[in-house]
Amino acid sequence: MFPVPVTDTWPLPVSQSAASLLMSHAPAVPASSPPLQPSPPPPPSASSSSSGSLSLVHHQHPPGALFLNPQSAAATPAAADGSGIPDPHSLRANFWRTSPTGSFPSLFLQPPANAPAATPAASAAATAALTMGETLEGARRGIFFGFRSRSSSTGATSAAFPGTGPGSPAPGGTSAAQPLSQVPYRYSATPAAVAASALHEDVILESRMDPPASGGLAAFGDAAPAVGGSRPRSRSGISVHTATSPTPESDGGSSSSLPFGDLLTGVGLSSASTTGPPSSKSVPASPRGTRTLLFSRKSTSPDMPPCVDATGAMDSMHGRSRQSLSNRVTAEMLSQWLPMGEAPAPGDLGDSASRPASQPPSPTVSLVGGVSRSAATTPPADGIPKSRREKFLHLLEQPTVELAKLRELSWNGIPNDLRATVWQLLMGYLPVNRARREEARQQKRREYFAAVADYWHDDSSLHGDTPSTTDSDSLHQIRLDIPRTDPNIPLYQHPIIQRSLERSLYIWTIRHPASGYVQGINDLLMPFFMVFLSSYIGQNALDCDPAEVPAEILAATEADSFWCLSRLLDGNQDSYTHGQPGILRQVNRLEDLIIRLDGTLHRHIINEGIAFIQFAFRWMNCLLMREMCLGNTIRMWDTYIAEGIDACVTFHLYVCAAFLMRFEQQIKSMDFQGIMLFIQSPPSATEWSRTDVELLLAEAFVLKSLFHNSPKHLATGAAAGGNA
Amino acid sequence: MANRPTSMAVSGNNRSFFQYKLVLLGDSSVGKSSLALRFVRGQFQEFQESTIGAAFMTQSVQCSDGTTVKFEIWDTAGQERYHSLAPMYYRGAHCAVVVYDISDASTFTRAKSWVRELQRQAPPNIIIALAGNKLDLSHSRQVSEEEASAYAAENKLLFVEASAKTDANVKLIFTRVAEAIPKSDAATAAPRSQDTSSKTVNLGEEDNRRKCC
Repeated sequence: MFPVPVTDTWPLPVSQSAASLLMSHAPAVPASSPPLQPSPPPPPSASSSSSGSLSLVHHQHPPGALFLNPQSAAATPAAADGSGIPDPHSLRANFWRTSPTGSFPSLFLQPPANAPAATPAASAAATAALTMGETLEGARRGIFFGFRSRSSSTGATSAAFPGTGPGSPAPGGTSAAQPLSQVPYRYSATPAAVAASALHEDVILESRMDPPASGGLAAFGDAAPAVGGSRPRSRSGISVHTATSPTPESDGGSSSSLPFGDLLTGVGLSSASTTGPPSSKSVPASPRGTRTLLFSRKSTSPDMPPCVDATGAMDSMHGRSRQSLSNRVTAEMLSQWLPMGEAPAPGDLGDSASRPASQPPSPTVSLVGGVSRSAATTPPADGIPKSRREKFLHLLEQPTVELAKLRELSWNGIPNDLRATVWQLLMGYLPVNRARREEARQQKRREYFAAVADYWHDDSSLHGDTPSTTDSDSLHQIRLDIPRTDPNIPLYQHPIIQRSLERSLYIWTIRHPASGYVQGINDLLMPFFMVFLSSYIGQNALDCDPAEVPAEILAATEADSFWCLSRLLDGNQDSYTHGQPGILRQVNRLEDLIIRLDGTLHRHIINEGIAFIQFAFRWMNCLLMREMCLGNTIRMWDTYIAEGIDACVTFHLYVCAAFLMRFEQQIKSMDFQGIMLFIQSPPSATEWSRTDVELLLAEAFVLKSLFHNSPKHLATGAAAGGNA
Repeated sequence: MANRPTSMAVSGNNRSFFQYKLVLLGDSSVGKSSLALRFVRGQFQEFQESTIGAAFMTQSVQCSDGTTVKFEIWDTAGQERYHSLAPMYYRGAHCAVVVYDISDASTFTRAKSWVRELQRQAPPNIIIALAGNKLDLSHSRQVSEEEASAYAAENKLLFVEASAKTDANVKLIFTRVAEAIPKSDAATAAPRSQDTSSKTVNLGEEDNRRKCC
């Protein structure tokens, strides 16, 4: 039996072998091991440490943009943190209550004549609070992966504010002259206020937890059943993945009622799954069961849904049990897939011989994502204040992680060194029960490499024999695409990394015959791979030499990335099936949203002869990854993963809408050619800071709050019922 | 739905400027984007990020008759899964360049199927060019020039072998296409409306709504 690890921390000396990775539990942290951290950030410049300026250019919505009713803001109580920034949820509630007509079009009120003067102050206050909390810090220091990021001070309209310490509430100067609650409230200030409020972790982001209304479900949740219903027979008998559960369960979902409970016991995870996280006190009670509960239900069955399902089917195809399959991973097999060609024996703990000779002596290598308190002593390179990091650590140290709290905390960004663990927890890859975590992880890695042993025959030549004729097309395509994955990142060009990526994409393809490999999925694998690898080697993976990374770490990264990619795509499968109906539906929804948000913009785009699918297809297919640098993508994924597995369908839609609205003014001034060229390579790819991304996410949050449960307010809904 | 004025827009002065919509088709990784990038920006990347959906570029060429032709280039994604998007791009096109990789016979087979599809479904007067890319890999050639040339002649296609990497014949492809398009009846070639969204937008309703505000 596996002894219960003392902590979630599982740093191993690099000398330990792949066998320890696969077969063992965590030894205690050596007290003398220095924590590995990303290289210290450059010292902030004098000017940026005393004051900062932020781009507010995207706040300049012209008349006709979405405005909230001024009265609603006046009636808005201050935020719970007393910062003077309205609680977004209250704001929304008041808006609906005080809306003159009680119908949605009142959102399109023209701004009051005296609004403009007040607006920058409101924006500045909110933005400042946001920035003070962490983002400016992040932008100033350069984020972990910020090789392409820039300073945030690029805006045309800037608001200067006095510098305060991280985590401070909104600076008084901006709100003193005219209290926020008395100025006409512009939509443009709202996202920042949301972000600022959300920064204060006691503020309830209630609307994020709302259960989708039934109408919303009809519009937004129909993807999964469609996949299940229309899915063609699978060659290997793998059943369809249904991670996107469109119906929130009203109970918390004990594991005994889970559809895959039997499978869970098969992988030894059931006891972890039965322990649902207690509801966070900050989560409002809901009679119908909240979105949080939905998350909890899914999350309490960490390794339950899709991939285990698929594995079960794959096993049964071969007429052997899961356990027997896992046990078939012998040292001999390991030698075939381990990137370094090592064949560690099971249970071989601490075999220093397996360490490549070039490896520097005994840095601590954490294979579980570096949940280490000691790391807090070094300055954060990710702009996350120490106090927030402590909250993460506190949550992660609990015997059973409260996922609801972890989601709330993660929405605003996750510390670099904790990201791997938090992502894996929130995606349901790791059980919330700490005692079972390591065993579950090892089990999943064994499962993955059992599949590799079955389906992958490693020939390193690009045009050699393919593992099977039926999947040779997919493998051919994967091998064409892997070297082309973001060619700007040298790490991706390393043969060791490329083989690893090929394997995991190929195994994913084998297990998802309805979609198979589709170009763009390779992009989606990379954030996982980079985050996990960075975490396991304790430094930014972009700077590492793969030849010097221990084979067991690469193997762990590969397996964990595979599973998390599977989880991510399971909520989004019909985006990649024949005809890509999921993407087409998303693009249509985006268009509906834009019609509602800014009919002028929509008309301009259409009149110029541009169909939304011509630019938005890629946004949906690659989750805006081609429009962001890797560091910003990873930050976005913090929020996506906190939103839930289906965020790449639901929340992403609103991010895309906010993204397009961000460039509204530029687009309106351009013709067909200008728009197409601009929108294919928007400034976000090269110029956006973390602040820009977080404002985008905040704007998306507001849009989701307004529209997600109200599909009939969108164009198609209005068209259906508007003439009555 | 209001549409752009025809993409054929003949500019004010003496009908010397023409604008055409061109679509690049072909199997994955044959070098469609590389040809386009070489033609448009004169650049080449050994590893070009895969195209998702389609990419848009413009570039002009001078024809021997003194006219200037500006191409609106739609560079499509090559993977079979994206096939369903292709009609949106070739439907309103005046010309198509079907690309294959001379060092990979399977891409030539796929190019033939693209040609068949264009002949069946594209505008009847579309100009089709067949381009064999990766001429720099002629040492590992799998498709002979004679074979491809014969196929092109048989199907009345323009034919050029080129290399985006070495810039051999890249501009020639587009120049040949530009000169092959009959300038006189250009304006009737393809209305813009065909390549915009098939979705109907009820502008009247939207106008009504805005009056409420």
